[in-house]
Amino acid sequence: MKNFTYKVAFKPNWNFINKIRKKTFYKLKKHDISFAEEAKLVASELCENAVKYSKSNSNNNIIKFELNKINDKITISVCSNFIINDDINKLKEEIDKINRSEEPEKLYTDRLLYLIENINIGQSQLGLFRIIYETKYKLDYKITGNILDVIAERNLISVEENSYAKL
Amino acid sequence: MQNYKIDLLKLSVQDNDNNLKIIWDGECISKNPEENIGKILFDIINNNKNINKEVILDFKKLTFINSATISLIVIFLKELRFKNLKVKIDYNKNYSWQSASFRILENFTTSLDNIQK
Repeated sequence: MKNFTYKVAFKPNWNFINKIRKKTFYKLKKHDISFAEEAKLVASELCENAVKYSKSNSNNNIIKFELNKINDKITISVCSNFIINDDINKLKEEIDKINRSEEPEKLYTDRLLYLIENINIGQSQLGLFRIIYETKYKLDYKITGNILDVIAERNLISVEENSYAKL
Repeated sequence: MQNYKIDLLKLSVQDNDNNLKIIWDGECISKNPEENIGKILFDIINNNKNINKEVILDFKKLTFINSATISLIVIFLKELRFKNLKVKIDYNKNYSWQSASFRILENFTTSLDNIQK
């Protein structure tokens, strides 16, 4: 598969996320359907988080989505302007917690159990836990003021080595 | 059979002799699924006082589900368990994404037995 970059900027509009899902899937399906499904999930969850927490009433607020395939690496990044610093800190803490964990399945199950006792579907932040449990992507972030850039990255390995495809 | 359309999702409800089957077809992409999908699911259970059979959630025709809808399903599973209804999660194990997404929910239904109302 050749190297490519797909970039798009959009206002915090939920309906636009479906276009990104489709484009991400289309870009990667030639390599492997499972791989494309995985990237679609990552792109979707990161964009949904960005739209939920973005400043939606500001005219110049945009979310930047980027999908890169460079050599043996796939990177998905979503950069957005958060309305509340607490939301940035919450997401930062979740990503740090996820990266420290060596048991993504337990982390995900614990999150589900927490969810049923603390019902708040819109703010469940289950997406980040899903990414780490259901895919081979690793999460990272960069913060500049109110701007949060969440980066998901994975190595592009052969289909035979892709344990996601064997689940 | 009753059918419901929510965004890109079609929900079909089959009231069979031995089970109540809810078939999910399409994509779950709602921002607030509790306001549309959730309302339908809870109405099905709460408006039918005579439900005393297994509830099957059939995801085999589903092509995508976001985490907000997974959160909703978890809450719904809890409700089914509180009503002492047997639950079955049905999905296509040949689809890697379905296995990844639904295997954990399948296991999760058993852990709900230990949670008090």
